[in-house]
Amino acid sequence: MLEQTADADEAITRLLRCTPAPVMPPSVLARLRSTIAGEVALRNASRVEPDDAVPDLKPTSPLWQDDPVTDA
Amino acid sequence: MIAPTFRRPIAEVDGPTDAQLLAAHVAGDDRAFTLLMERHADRLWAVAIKVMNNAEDAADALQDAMISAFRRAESFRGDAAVTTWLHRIVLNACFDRLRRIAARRADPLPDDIERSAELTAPDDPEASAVQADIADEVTAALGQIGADQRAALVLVDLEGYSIDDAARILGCAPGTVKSRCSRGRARLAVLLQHLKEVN
Repeated sequence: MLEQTADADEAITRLLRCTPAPVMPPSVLARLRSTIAGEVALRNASRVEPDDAVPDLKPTSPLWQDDPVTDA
Repeated sequence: MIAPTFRRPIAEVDGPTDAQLLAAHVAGDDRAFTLLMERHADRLWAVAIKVMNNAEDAADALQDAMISAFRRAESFRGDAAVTTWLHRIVLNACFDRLRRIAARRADPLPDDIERSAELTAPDDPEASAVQADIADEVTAALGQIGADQRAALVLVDLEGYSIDDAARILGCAPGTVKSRCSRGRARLAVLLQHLKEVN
């Protein structure tokens, strides 16, 4: 019985391996390319790059100063 | 390293390895992930379509999987083949989808999905037709067994993973994978008992 089961398992495995490998339909491939392109765009848009043109940019305002405040 | 061992050998490709493509993607290369996906498109599709048993659901699951893989690429540690990592993500996406559509009835696959390379020489159309019929029967029978069993059989019998490696991918014990394969094959044996032995 065990041998029959093992033979049956092997027969099923052979059948499974005989089935041709599916090929991704072009429409699915196109959709995935578009999805990945969207992710790339999202990643690029969310990158925060340092602004080299104004490395010392600091808000200036009479109401704002970095100097420590002491109550005179 | 976990890697499949047979049957669907990946053609030798020139250019960067899978790991190099993934690293390039993590480093910010805008094209690397697309190249990686295209290289393995058919295999990933094969896993998704066999597990989901429905082309539309398989396409949706693959989209979920590719988004997840794109965003989580930094988490790849290199202790398994990139294809193994991708298979795991695809299967997780498939199971997530299946849970959400648990009550949905499996539809038969549309005709164009199973178009693939001829198994026999072009001058043997009768044998080709017989092979195609058998393939259709096997595919239909696969759709009638449980998703867990289907996934186990896809990994072990179709993709060539060992029981232990399949267990790591599925996140369960090896004994569970073995049991699912055994029960799945037993069920398929009943469903396909009318078929003659395939050469």
